[in-house]
Amino acid sequence: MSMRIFAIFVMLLNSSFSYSIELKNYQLINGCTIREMNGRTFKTFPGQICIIMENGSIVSATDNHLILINKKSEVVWEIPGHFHHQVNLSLDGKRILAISSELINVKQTPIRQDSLLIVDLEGKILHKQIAREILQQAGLMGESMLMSLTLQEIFKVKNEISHFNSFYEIPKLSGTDHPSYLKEGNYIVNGTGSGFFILSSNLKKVLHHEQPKVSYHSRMHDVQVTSQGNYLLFNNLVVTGKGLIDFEGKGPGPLLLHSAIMELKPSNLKIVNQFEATPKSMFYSAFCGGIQELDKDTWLFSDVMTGTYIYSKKKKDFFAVIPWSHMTNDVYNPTQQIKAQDLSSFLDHWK
Amino acid sequence: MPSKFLILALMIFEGCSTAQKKNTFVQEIANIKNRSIKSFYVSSGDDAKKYLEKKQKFLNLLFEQSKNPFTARPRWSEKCLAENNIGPIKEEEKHISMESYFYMDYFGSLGNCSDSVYAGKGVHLILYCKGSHEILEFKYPAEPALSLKDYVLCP
Repeated sequence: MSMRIFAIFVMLLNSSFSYSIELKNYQLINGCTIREMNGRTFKTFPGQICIIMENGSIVSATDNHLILINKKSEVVWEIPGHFHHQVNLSLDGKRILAISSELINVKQTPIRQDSLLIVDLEGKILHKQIAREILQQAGLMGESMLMSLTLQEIFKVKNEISHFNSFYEIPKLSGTDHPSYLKEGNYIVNGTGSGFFILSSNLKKVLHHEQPKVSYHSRMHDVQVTSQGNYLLFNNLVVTGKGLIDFEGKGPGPLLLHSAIMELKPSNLKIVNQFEATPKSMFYSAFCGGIQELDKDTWLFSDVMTGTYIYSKKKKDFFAVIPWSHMTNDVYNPTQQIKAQDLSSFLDHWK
Repeated sequence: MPSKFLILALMIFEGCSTAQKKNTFVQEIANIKNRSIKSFYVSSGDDAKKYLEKKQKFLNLLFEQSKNPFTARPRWSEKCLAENNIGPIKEEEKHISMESYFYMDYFGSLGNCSDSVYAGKGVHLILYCKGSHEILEFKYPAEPALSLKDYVLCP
């Protein structure tokens, strides 16, 4: 009898330990709003998308500019331009990775393209690369895509040749069995429709290009390289099944689609880990999505509309579901991505 | 004529007694339950002015209108911008101040609108008393209204 009680006690202990995750002092970042881990708004900073830094500074991006605000609330520098999707810090915390937009003329027609900027903390642009160059190096024709009506309204043009949505530095990788292009200090940039590219540390060379077949129309977001050397991504469009009737010349026919979080092995693009809902259609975020590896077992991911999820790969279960992360003024808002960060040092400067 | 003199004397007396009744603002604000008072060191009056200008610029930046880069959705609704009012910096004989009205949450955080259940209208007052080395930053509910004219801001 006592052995059974002991066994139950050990089971409970084991289960509670395996479900614990060290998130003390963590808060959520949605754009430029810091939220409690329950999703409630805690502090709002200027801008649309922000980097929150330990020294109390904020890098803030909008459709008008990229600025650095120091802990004394002073704007230290400004780079004018249209910035979108995400701004990230390099791994050493000394460079800012930003995605901007510019117009180019192709056959005398103005078209939007993305540009990638690496900026130091003094506001100096260290490296810049444009989408056309990346697409050409990758052997893609750079055919233009029709933009959404809202984008057409913003830019007063109809087409874009790229739609980059994530930009990260590749971290130091554990182990040795990695392709040579997956090297610390190189960059990975992802584009809707074009797949993702590994760029050299000065952004000049495309070292590798991938369009994993697991993503329909290469509709992916927030593509990163993990410290284990795998690709981690939010796959917006996974084909669940095919419709019955296919009208020739009108695309691939009516498809059933869902979304998934995927970790892929670079050598063969096989899925190493993934999250799919059951039934699959229950998790579907066609246009946005963010994914963050909190530790070896835990992912934090967010979809466009319903919330943020903290998920254990080992347990195949959730630690938490946070619907309030998407609510502003009591309305659910479309959200590009949510990330979690220990903000204790930052908030010491903003008491 | 004597009655006119009497009325004048009474007016002066009433005026003086009213002035004597005036509490300092800090005394009054201490009685309010939901308020926050923070103080910051400044080296001089010029330093205080710079602090206020910097704060005003930051608040303007916080409520700067921008569009979501892809949905074109405005960062702030026009209604929200209209109900968050950043005050002018006022310099008077004894003090420099900036009185603003914002929708703030229970922590005094700014960047809210009246639509939010967890935000109410509050006053954000930054006050520097000339000759001192301290800037005081007050946040308190806008209702019941406190008129700064009724208080001695800097004794």
